[in-house]
Amino acid sequence: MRQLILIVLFAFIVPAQAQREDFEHIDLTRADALARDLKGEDLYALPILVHQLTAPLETDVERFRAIYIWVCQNIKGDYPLMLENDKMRRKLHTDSLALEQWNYEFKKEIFQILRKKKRTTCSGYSYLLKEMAELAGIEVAIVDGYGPINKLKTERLKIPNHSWNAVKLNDKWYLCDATWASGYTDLTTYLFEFDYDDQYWLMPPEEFAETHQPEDPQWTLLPIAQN
Amino acid sequence: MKSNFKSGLLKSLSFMGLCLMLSLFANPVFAQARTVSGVVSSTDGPLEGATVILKGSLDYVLTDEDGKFEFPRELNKDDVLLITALGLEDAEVVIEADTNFISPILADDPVVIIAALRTEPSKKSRQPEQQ
Repeated sequence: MRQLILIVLFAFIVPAQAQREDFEHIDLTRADALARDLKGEDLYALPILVHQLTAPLETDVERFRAIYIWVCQNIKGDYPLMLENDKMRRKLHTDSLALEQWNYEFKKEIFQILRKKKRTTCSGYSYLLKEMAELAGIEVAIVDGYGPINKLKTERLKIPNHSWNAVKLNDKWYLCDATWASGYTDLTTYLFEFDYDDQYWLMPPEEFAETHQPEDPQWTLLPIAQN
Repeated sequence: MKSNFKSGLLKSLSFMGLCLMLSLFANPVFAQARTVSGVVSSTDGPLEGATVILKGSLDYVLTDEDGKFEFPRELNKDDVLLITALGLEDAEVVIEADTNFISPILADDPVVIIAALRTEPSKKSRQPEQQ
């Protein structure tokens, strides 16, 4: 019985502690440098790129870091693409069949644009991060949910408007958001500016929850949502 | 005792060398290396720009606009080709003794596209990236 309590307690405590401080003893400068050296590489041969990004590194956190930084510094946000998607999803959100069909076609377009132009929306960021991490043998999940951006209040959002990632490192899940870490769109010019923001790298779940509400509360990684 | 050990070592070394030479000669006879070509498709038809990579190597080729490819180096039995494309599931094809053409179909990877982008410069960056 005592063991059971311990296990339950452990399950509650572990996710709450999952944050970047766990890896403070690991120097990430090599990973960052690798990502920088490979800046401008294209996405045509993803397994090769992942190999180049990760092969010289020793730990999963470094390997994931190299991939994360590369994605943040090489993939641009595509604002018009986001507007188009947003408009259609709002328009079709009561018609699931039409929405599914739209998503299917749009998805093909999204991945074409990502591959050829390295431009995308948050789904592209989180998908690419997952795809690349998996090629490096690291387990990553895509988390869909709500992010109150552009001063939109979350209550106004009927459908998920954002997607980010959870990554499993040393058997613990951590959160990160490559979309918002990467840069921003200047709304006067609609041009994307790379502006890497490190705070979204393995952000503590409590802080992450202030701006990210997952559809599935499990992915807050907060103790309260774990049951 | 010592020279015994030495000659034993010499013997086994030369035996290994012989085996190695034999295997070099024998290889093409038993496992014919050959050119492998193919067509990669998705559920919508031929797929342009899919990556075909020899597992465990850095050799790869991209499919052309008709989904076709010819692998740039000769392959042997039991080589594994990994086929990947963004937005689709990966596929693996094991090269059999008589494989010279493959036509893998990549299954759809269910992704719901949603979109949100940041529109303001970062205000508090804890560790600004050094450029």
